[in-house]
Amino acid sequence: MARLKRPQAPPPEISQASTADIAFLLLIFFISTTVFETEFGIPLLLPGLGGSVTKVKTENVLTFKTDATGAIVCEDAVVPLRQVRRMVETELQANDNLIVAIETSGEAAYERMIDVLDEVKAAKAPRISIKKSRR
Amino acid sequence: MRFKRTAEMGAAVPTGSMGDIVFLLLIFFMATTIFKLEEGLKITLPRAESGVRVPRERVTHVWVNGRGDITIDDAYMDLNTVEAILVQKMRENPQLMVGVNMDAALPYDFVDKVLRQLRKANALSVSFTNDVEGT
Repeated sequence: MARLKRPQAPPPEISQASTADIAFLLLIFFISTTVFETEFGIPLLLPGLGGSVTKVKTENVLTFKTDATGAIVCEDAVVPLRQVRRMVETELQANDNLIVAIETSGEAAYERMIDVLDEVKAAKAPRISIKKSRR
Repeated sequence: MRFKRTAEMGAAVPTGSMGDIVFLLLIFFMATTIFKLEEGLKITLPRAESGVRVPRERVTHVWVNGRGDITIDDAYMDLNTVEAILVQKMRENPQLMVGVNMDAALPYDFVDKVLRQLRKANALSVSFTNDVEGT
């Protein structure tokens, strides 16, 4: 009798069932580690050098001086940082052409200038000028 | 004799292509993950509320840390070299905005010197990078 050939069993296959699992895991990894980089900054237009100096009326300028200790002075009165915004808003309502000048002492920390600039920007003043105190 | 019809199975959703979909999504995220290109310096940014998002394409960054080190594009430089580099960058892109990343504790004297370099280079559109307050 001829030897019956056994039908050959198909070679064992690697189970494909977990492919999707692996893919999901990798996907979740990348979703959780992707960082969309956002940078925030306060925009300002600096005055050019060597241009003509525009004359402005003194009453249209509101100056905030920050001294070396970080105290903010406006018209010879110390102003706490929280009040700066309200002051600027009130002055803006009274005078449309208001220019807010932020003068900072050379020894004051950069952060203090930014604090004042932040408050002035929050009050939506359209014209802002920054400078360093002479002394 | 009434034969009860075997209950009809609800149509099964073919899940064979789930792996394909997942791999496509994975490739999308792998392709869009941004790896930070510029290292910058280790600084503590000042905090502010009125910062706005800065468009990454038009911005070049000037980093100044608490010790007075200045870098642009991860290259250290002197204060006086800043103007030359910026003039070059402005020539390539006149619409350039300069993102100023300075340490919060820096004395304003130095800040003013850096800003003067920017004004000399006629790079007047400036953004004072800040950390968002309240986070």
